[in-house]
Amino acid sequence: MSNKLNIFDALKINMAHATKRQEILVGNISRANMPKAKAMEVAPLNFDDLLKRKTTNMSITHPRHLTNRITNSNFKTIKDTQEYEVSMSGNNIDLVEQTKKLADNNANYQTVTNTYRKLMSLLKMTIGGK
Amino acid sequence: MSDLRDAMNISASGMRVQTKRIGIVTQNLANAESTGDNSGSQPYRRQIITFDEHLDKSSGIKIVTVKKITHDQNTPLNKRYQPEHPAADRDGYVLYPNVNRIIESRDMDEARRSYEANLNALDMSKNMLLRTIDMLR
Repeated sequence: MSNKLNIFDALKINMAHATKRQEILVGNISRANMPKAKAMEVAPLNFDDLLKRKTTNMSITHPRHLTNRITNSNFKTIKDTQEYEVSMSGNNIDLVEQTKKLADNNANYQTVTNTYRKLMSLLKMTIGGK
Repeated sequence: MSDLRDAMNISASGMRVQTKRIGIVTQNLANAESTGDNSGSQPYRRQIITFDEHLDKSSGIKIVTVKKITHDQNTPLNKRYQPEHPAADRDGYVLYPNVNRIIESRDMDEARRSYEANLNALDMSKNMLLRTIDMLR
């Protein structure tokens, strides 16, 4: 199990990524009317990333060992490279674009949480629960 | 979970500054005709609000705050010929505030849109939080 990609881990990483992205996008929206503010993004998550994260984990043999927890600092915040209209004050945050991204992020999060619940119900069914 | 709460705090800070902005805009509109009461006195001057990023040390997130509320010294004051007015100068002209109603209503519109965008974002963060809690069921 340790060498393979654990699906629960993958979902967890995905959720942490979506949460971090939410924080960054919401920050963009709140800075929409601030002079010189630039739109930010979180580096996209790819499959290699998931695998790499898994292999760098050290095994925990004692309850006091530090775990390789998934925190929001695992994801890189980058400048949004897409070309947007830049206002006179040097602000390139487009509210429509950011809201669209936010909705997309939300849908992604919903997919992940639904998958998680589905998996949990499958597990429960296996062990004989309801 | 705390990230989502941080996201909600950021949205709330955005809403707070936009509310303040609407307050300043309405103040400008309400005072669009506020002149002085004697010759040589200055009328109301349009106020401008600016925003800035502020690091909230307790949570480590960057929220938006009001940087400064200044008087608009660049737009010239309006002059109207009203010799009977108590604030009229020797030539009969009265200084009126440098408030342009079209600019103010446009500003109000932008503030409202930004407020709505922040509210929408806050709602989405809240939904994500609720969905996470729903996973327990």
